Amino acid sequence: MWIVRLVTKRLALGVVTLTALAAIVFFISTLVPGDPARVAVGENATPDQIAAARERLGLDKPVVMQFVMYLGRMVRGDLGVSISTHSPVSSGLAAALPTTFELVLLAILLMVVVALPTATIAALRQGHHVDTGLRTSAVFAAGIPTFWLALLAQFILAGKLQILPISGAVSRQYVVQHHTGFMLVDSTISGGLAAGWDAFQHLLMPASVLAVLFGAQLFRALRTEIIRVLSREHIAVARAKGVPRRILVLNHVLPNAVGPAITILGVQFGMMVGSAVLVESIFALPGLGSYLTNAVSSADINALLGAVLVTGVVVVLASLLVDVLQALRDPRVRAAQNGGRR
Amino acid sequence: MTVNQLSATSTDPALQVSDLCVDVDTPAGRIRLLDGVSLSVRSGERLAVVGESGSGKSVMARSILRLDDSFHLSGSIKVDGTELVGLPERRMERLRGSKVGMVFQDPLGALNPLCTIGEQVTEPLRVRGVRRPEAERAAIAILGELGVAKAAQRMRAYPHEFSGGMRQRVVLAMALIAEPDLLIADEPTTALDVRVQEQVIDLLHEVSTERDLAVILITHDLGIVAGFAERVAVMYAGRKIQDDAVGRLFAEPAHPYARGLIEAVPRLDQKMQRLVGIPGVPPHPGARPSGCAYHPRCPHRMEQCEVEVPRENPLATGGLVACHLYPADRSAQ
Amino acid sequence: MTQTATATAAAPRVRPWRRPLKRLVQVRGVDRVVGIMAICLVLLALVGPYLAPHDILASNISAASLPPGSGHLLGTDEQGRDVLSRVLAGARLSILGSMAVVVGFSIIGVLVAALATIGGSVVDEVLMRITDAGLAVPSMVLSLALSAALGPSLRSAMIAMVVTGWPYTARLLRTIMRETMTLPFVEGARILGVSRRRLMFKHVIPNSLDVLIVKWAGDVGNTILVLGALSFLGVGAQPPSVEWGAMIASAQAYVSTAWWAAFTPGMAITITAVTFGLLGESLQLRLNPEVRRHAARSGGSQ
Repeated sequence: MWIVRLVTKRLALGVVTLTALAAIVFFISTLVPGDPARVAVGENATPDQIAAARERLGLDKPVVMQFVMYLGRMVRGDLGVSISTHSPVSSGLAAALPTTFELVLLAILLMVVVALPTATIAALRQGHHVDTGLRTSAVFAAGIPTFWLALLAQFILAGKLQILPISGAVSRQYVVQHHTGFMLVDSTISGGLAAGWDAFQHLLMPASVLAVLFGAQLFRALRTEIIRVLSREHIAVARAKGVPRRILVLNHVLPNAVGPAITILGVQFGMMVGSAVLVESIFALPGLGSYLTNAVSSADINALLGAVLVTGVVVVLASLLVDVLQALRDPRVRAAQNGGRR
Repeated sequence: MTVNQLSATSTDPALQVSDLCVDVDTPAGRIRLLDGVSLSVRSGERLAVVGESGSGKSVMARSILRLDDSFHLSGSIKVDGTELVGLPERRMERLRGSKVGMVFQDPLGALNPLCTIGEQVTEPLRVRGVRRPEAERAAIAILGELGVAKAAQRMRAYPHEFSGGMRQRVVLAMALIAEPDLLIADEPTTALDVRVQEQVIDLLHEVSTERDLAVILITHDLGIVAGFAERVAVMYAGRKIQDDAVGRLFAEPAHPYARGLIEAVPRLDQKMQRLVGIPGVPPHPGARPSGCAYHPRCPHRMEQCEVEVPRENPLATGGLVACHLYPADRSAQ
Repeated sequence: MTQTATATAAAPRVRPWRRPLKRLVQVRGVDRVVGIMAICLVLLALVGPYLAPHDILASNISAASLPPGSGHLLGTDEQGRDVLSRVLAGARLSILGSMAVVVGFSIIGVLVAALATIGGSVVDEVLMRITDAGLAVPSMVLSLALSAALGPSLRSAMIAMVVTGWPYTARLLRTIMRETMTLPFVEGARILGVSRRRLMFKHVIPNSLDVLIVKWAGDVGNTILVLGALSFLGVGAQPPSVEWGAMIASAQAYVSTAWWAAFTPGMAITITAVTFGLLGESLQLRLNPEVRRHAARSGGSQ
């Protein structure tokens, strides 16, 4: 089956990629000034305690062995202990990730919902005023710094107009118990639809802000590809068969044109996790971004490197998902998998 | 022969094109691609339209079905009594496929790579509200008729799993499944290798006689015309310059350009002679010569040719020609 | 099949330097405006600090948070410093800093791509896995980690951006260079015994320059955004140096009372990023490396 081959191959490649990433991260950790053993046992430790910590952490072993041990710990999910919170980095990240996912996924949903129809309209009316207007907007949207846009949106929409809540994940009046980690789900379980709606309102502005820059890129990619597909012969053939315009666009143009956009979304997913750092810190959402900014302000290197690795895993999984989607979309990709060609 | 048949036919022509002009806007201004072409095809008739690339033959083919939104059409195109120039797009959609079918040059590019053969062949029926099982039965029947082996299984295959010749059969099946009266085949064999070319032309011929289907074969290859068509229209620089029965055109081509074309075809039935090519190249649509567009290349060029566009006149032997060598008053007798 | 398709598409391009330069002089319309804007922005980056009408560092609490108007054209910030002066002065770090970062990672990217192209399959595989690893982490996250590890400063932010920026260039250029290696004249030179290194510097790298220039312009636009973001998060430019992202960060807390102090530097970032983004697009249309990449893609998928 193609899907088994594809997933196996991509996972194997992903493991190699992540090992290389771990090597980079390990290298960065050796750049950090100061003695990790001393840091681990605290300021007032005796030389004996430091030596013990050194042995326990494997710091007396050669660098290669240290890296192997590091890999071993990583595989077991042990990313070390946060210097600032004194709790395991892995549990801190596990608590933070769902919020970031929620933010990024809502942003992607908004991007697709806006970019797909507008790009289709622009491409179908190529060169008309609608097209020119949409393209110009996209060019500007792609140049706006996300953090600045977040501040402006907060100032105008929440501060002046008071349409949306200014920050946070949910209003104080709702007490949200932890079930899944996803605020939209948890708040609905704890406080019913009203609480869920409240959480959604809190998420809407950050997600929209995050969606602007990436949505503009998506729009441009989609528009270019739709124009390219429109000029293909099989579109003329489908018209010659008597296929009405709406069905032509939905069944023939768009399925053929979304390929590059899916790939771009896969790349953007990682970048959006990165930009979520900015958005979350401005809107005070308790996600990966807030975890990272806290870690930066306390120079918490374990937390930072752990976050790097976890985002790496997320990105590798996202690109796997992209490959599966492409194969589902295009029978030629599936055929190439079955044929075993590279 | 053709003349007799023509007078014997009482029904309306399957296609009647009158004084069709096609313009397109380019950054350099509006360019006339097709300049006052008139043409008619009787039902069941096989017409070949020949000419070099840039002569406007493909433009005409695509204009009949109004496939290019950038084309500005004027004149008249009548299919089964319905005027297509100015017809609302909605009605045009209903007419495409069911009245006029079309086969294209590149059989790989003509199929949607993401859809199965079955989905694509049934589509002309499905968009007209035919239910899936019924449409699939019709598709399997027509694929079988066109020589696709194991049609029922092949319905679930994708275009990339088909060879070039098989793909062209699929394209033909898509064009025929809604039972049009007219089929336009735009260079259907150009992208295929020689052996498959023959098969496809034979198939077209067979389909035409069995279904009493009018066929317009657009081609630059005179070699395939002789065995296929009953009548030939020769195009040059956006105009039709001769229109005659196939035998007569090959035996005694009236227009100097048609003569040049035919002399350039290698013949097996004659002794080896030197192939005579036409000197010069066809003009670009944006820069066509005045008068008769062929005059810069014509060996019989007269002063009149440079200023006056020759009108289409009937020849004494039958057929039509647009050339100052054959003025109306003399040939009409 | 891929090879023939690429070769025919790219064969006429033998002297990659001349045509772009010639075309750049004949620019008209929107492209011309964009080109002039870009040049002005670079000039501003060079002389910006000398244009500042007021002292950019001295705080003056009595003149804090003045709205735009007389005396201070764009108002003052929460410490009473002239916003216009600081935006003009900040152009240097923001624009030149980003350009330096792009130059830095472009050089690394080209070298990695060149090494992967001529170094044999093992070298290629290893380099591409490292490249993939670099691509797997958003540059923002890795930059944060790196600059925190090196200690927050503009220098470590720039190093971090160079380290996280090169994989994109390396990936793209490797594809282009592989195509170039299959061009008839390069293959010919190879058969004649021209050394791989000479081939690389004489033909392959020059032939990739148009792609690089296009990418470069777009990259400057993106890098300005990332540099601004890092400074905003406090791991980039540190006070007292003046940088647009850092200006927004310090004005953040006072948005409700002095929005202009945050608005203006953000506008400056936007204008710069849009200008360089547009520059990249018009260069793309003019130098048209897309044609080659498209030929490679359609040839490869069949």
